[in-house]
Amino acid sequence: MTLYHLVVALHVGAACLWLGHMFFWSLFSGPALKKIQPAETAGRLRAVMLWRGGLGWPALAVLAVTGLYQMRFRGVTLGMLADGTMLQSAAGRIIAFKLLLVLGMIGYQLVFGHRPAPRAIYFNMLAALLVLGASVLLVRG
Amino acid sequence: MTLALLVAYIHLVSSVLLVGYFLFWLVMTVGLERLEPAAEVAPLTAAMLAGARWPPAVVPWKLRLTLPGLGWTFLAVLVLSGIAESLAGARYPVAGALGIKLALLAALAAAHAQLGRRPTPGLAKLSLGLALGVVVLSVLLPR
Repeated sequence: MTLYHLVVALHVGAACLWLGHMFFWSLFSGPALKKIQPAETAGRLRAVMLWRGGLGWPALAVLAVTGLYQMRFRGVTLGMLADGTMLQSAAGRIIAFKLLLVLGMIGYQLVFGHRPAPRAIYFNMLAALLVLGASVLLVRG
Repeated sequence: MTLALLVAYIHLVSSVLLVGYFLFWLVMTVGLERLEPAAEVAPLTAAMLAGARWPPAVVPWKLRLTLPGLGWTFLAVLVLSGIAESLAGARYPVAGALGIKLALLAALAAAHAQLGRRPTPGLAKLSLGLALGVVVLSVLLPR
């Protein structure tokens, strides 16, 4: 395993943990646990799950460092985004789109964090799905 | 988007969901272990295994998936999309990384079968580790 492989593995692992937790909690386990009867049992189970702090910021830190390394490995720098040269290639436009979405997700994390956001969470999940789509296009497209 | 890209996308999303699923089990089992009094753990675990069903509405109760059922569904999508990827053009040489990945996947299925019956923090940690191991090994497969 090369350093590049290690960095990609960390990037994918952090993304799976962060996004997987968000998707599974928001779409599957959260709604399912709410329906357990009696309601006190459901509340007790939900309380049990709160011992663990948020994964968002640590995962984002890993994603930022490993993402920047991969960009540099591919010969792309943030300066190329600033002066617009990145947008001249299809891959550059995909990276720019992905970065824009990631910025939006960081904004969500800043504003809402772990607080309930019944509508905004769906925009965040849509952004996450698009980020995953952009990643597939970058690697396989 | 070509079929190969769509299949790769489904494979990636199902991997993300599967890791999230095992992370849920880890958080839940460790949380339950910390519970006082300890006598509450067994009934709460039983309530979660039998009572948490998805989707929470629309579908009749008997047809809703239990939590372990959700895990099996994610695993099935992961395996089917992996097979479809190999049919749709991603020709991986059957070398070390793919062999180890498939072995880890089999171990993950076995661990999940046990986790769905008798969840413990140790089993949840093992399952999450195996799921992340499968993800890491995927990185080593040639593109």
